[in-house]
Amino acid sequence: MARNSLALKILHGIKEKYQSIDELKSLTGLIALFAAAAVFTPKFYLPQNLMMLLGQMSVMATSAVGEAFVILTGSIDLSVGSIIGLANVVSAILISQYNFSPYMALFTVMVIGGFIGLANGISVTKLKIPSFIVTLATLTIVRGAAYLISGGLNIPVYNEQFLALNEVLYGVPIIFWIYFVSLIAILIFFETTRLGLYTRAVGSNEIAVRNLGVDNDGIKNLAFTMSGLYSALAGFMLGVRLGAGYPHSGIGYELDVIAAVVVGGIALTGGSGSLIATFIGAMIMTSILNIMVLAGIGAFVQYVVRGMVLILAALAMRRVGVIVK
Amino acid sequence: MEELLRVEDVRKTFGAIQALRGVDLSLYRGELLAIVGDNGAGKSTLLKIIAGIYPPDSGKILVEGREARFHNPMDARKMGIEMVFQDFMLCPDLDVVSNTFLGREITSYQFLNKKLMIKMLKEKLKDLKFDIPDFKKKVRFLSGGQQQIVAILRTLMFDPKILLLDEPTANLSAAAATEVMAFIKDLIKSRNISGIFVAHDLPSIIKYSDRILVMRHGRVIAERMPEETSTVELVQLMRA
Repeated sequence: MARNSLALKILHGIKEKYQSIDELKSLTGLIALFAAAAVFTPKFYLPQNLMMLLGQMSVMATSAVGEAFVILTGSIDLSVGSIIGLANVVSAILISQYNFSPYMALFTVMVIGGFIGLANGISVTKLKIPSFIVTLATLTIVRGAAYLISGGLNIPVYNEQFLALNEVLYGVPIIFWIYFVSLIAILIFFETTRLGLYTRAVGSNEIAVRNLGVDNDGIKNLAFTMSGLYSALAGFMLGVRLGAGYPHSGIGYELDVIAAVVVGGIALTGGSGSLIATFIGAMIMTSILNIMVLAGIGAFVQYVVRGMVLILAALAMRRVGVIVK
Repeated sequence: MEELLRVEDVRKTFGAIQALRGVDLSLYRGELLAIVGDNGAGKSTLLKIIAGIYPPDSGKILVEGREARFHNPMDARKMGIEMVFQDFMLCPDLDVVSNTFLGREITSYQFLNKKLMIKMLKEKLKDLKFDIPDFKKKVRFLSGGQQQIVAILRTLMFDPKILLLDEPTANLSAAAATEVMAFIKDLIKSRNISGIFVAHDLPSIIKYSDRILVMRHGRVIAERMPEETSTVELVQLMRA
């Protein structure tokens, strides 16, 4: 009897711990997905495929880091896909037509992305326009800018330094390393500083945070700026992968990015989750796509499956009270 | 008695509504002052102005004889004024430590010093004879009573001079409410600090307060000592 109650206590403890760490649900999903891949599409585990997967996920995951900042504060950024497209086009033009080094081009597009993000933030905090509307407008404006700047044409890049970034380093694509380093840097900042803590606090209870004297607006502005910065970095990385600037690149990407954030375990209502979740979410979304392609599932069905995964993820979060608070 | 806080002719308007029409009050050291009034009398607005949440349209606030100008709640907190809210005002997704130090985290070289915060929290809990089983637990997993303890702890962490309590027991069971009020009273007396509390529970106001102010339509209209009044008289004053 005593042994039974001890076992129950231990089980309860494990269950409580499991429910208190938001990322564990999504990590379980990722492990299940990898197990399913082993059974249904063994080709998934071929080194070339895994390498491609890491390259593919890097762009989405990088943008998801910035999006996660915004979502954690309880807002949303729909402009990330367009910022990716603009950064892709501008970096390609700067390198191929103005002889910028790839690093100077990256710096320039990140400044542009940061400013677009900050403008989004100020529109939300000072002009009091809901983030959904502001960033929907920015989505269109920035996409228009990408078409205007490029004249609607594709811009191939022949710079060797730029194209070399599409190579592999220590068995892993360089752009994955870029993503990885940028994730670790921001993760340290996020987990160990006041600003990281306030990002979650604002999303968790904005009024409480304001009543305690924390600068809510500053935190939201910072989150939108981070989103712009990271999406610009993602746009540059996309250019590396494509070897060119495409004005229509990144169209619809915002939905994949938001899906990656939610599937990773971050509540759309804000406050709950960590940036590590974006890695898991992006990995799940990219792997599902990859597995479906390998399994020969048609593109139309892929849309349906991805949508269903999103609903399942939302349901899983709801059970532990992450989404519905 | 030493006057800790004085409010002089404070007025506040929200659009067409005059929430405060010239409020004066004094709060003395070691005193628990209660403010009663019907809904819309201006009690909560007054507390929020003292806490720096709303700026007054006009009037003065003096803390220990010096005029205080609060641009935000942090200015008031820095002067030792802390507020406990009816709905706790906690961040449910943050742990106990983060909630307790929210807005005034301890840092070393800009990095959060969680170890030191936990140590301080443990000492404070021991000092107050409180118990919270797991500091790293997210607040949303705590009971209502435990959440209120975290909310009170937050205000006591940095030894406040003045506690503002906006219906601190409204969301608690009768037993927990009695416990919290007794604790607050004991705290104010033992540490020689002061408190202003707003509540609707008139018997408990009479039982625990040292002085009672009655507000109506944005003004203080009466002052009573608890031993000289009754719930019937207070209701009459509130509604007259």
